[in-house]
Amino acid sequence: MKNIIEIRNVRKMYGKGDSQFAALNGVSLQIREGESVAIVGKSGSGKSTLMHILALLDRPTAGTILIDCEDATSIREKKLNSIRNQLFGFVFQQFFINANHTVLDNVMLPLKIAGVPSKERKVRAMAALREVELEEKAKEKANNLSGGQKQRVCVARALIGQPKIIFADEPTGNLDSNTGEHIEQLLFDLNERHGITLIIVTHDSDLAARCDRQIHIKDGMILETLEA
Amino acid sequence: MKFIDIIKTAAGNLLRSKSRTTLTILAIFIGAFTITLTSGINTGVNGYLDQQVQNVGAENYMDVMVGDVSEGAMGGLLGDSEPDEYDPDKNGTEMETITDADVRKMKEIPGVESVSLYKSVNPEYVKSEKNGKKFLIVDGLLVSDNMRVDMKAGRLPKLESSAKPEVALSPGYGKLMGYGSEADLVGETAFIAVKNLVTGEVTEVEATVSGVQNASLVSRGRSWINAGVQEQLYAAATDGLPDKVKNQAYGAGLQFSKGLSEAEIQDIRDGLTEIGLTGMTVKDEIGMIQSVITAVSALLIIFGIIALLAASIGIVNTLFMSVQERTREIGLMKAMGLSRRKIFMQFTIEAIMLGFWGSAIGIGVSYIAKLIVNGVVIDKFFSELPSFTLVDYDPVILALIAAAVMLIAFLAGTLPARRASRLDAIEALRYE
Repeated sequence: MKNIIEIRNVRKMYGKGDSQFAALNGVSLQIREGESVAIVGKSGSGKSTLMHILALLDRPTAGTILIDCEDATSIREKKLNSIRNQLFGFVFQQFFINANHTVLDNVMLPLKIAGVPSKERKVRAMAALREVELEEKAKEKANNLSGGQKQRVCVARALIGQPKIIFADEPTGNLDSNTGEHIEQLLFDLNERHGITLIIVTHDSDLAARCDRQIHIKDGMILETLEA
Repeated sequence: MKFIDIIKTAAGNLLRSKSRTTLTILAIFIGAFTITLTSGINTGVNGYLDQQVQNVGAENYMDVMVGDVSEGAMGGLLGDSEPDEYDPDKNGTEMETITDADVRKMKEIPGVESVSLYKSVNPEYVKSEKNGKKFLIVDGLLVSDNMRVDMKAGRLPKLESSAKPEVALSPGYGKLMGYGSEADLVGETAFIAVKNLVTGEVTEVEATVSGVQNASLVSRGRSWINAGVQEQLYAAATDGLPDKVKNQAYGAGLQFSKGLSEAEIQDIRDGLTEIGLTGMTVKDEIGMIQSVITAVSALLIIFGIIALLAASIGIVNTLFMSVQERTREIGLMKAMGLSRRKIFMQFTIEAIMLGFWGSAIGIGVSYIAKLIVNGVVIDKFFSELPSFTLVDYDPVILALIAAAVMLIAFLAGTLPARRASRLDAIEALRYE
């Protein structure tokens, strides 16, 4: 199986002079296509920074990133935007849903950004909503949904662009254990059925244990890697 | 993101906070309305005056007066010139009038075709055969054969030297003189009376009414007479005066060759200045009124622009608030790959839309104002000037105003748009 993402000796520095500190201090990592990976660590460990760098939301101070075996360290912003739009899907702890828009509008957003024609957007959004069993809520305002339903909308939104990787930042952090379980199941189903690579940032050890691999981060360095 | 989606998103965002959007548009509307209405008045009044100039025709005709009118009138008015010393050659009473000698000099100026002295005497009254009632009259000597006066009925007096005495009366005499309508006056005989300057004896001169005029700024209430009437009036009034006093006038009408260029007409003006006279075409006279109107409307338009500038600060404010409220949303869209340029576009389009609605409503309300002003105000205050429009809109100017308002809105929008486009995705997603 080929590496979908590879980083080599990545460092990320914040601040200047005496107050400078390293959020990531020489991290190397390979993630294979179709794998599910948990990035685990306490707050301040650098796990979020690592995810941001893997997701091309942030640029490292030093080191190399390869996406799909192509160097993505110093590519132009336009290309970065298109990689994030075409290859990645995002699920966040706080949902980041537009409460005043309909469920359908929220799910369509990545395709709208991609410039997909509106008819095709609707068809694909309905398909994505079917996948998360929220078809009948399509016309509803996102505000009227429960927390679990909102996160399912986010999964549908992450899914709609047929990404190769879904980044999930504490996807169950704002949910009770039952609904959290439901979301976890959804994500792992996508991983198994569609072969979408899953990168989950979490401090929930049960969730981390379900992944193929757990990468433990401490003080900006990989402490240990556990294979399931 | 496609352009149409950017527009739809921008429109949707404006609708999200309706009261804020409405108030911002209202501020723009006030500026746009002021500018539109003012330029409408400018277009309307100046258009009317232009039309009057055309109506008058007489492109090859000039009123000639003694001295430099502008200097005398303006200098005296402003009080900034000291009294001049007396010079018998320059300031003699003879010099205050135009004499036959001046007429000869005028005729020598290249391009001048004919000159007629306004040997005017103020008529005492005019009356008709019908009821014999006497009314006041202001006369004017018709000297140009291509003057187009707006006629209610009939025509202007004939000009050839062989023509019989004729008068084209200013409006209003028909009913007063006992006729059914103004038109009934045409062809009737009017008696214009003049008092002899020596004896005080009143003589009535017969003139055929060739027509009745409509009111116009150009005629300014004058009844036009031809030389046939004027000579009789003058002879009756000045009978018994010495010749030296007789053959002079306070003004003259000068006709020059048709089709002269502005520069050639200016040469004639200069020629007149050299012999101590001033010449003004109808266009010059109306141009003076027009320049006053243009100055006043320019001032009002400046006020409108100030209002617009204040409104554009409103746009900046509104959009800054909007950027702040939507920080996380912007972050999310950036994470999903929306480019800075498109985020910038989204916000500037919102600003342009605010400008569009402000100017659209401003222009719309200006149209309603035009109907009201032209209907009610003209009825009350300008009813004696038919075909007068106070407010008129030139579509080109309206389009320019709308474009300028949207441009100002766009420029105001670039500040918040810049801030939005430069937001860092991660920072924005963390924003509480």
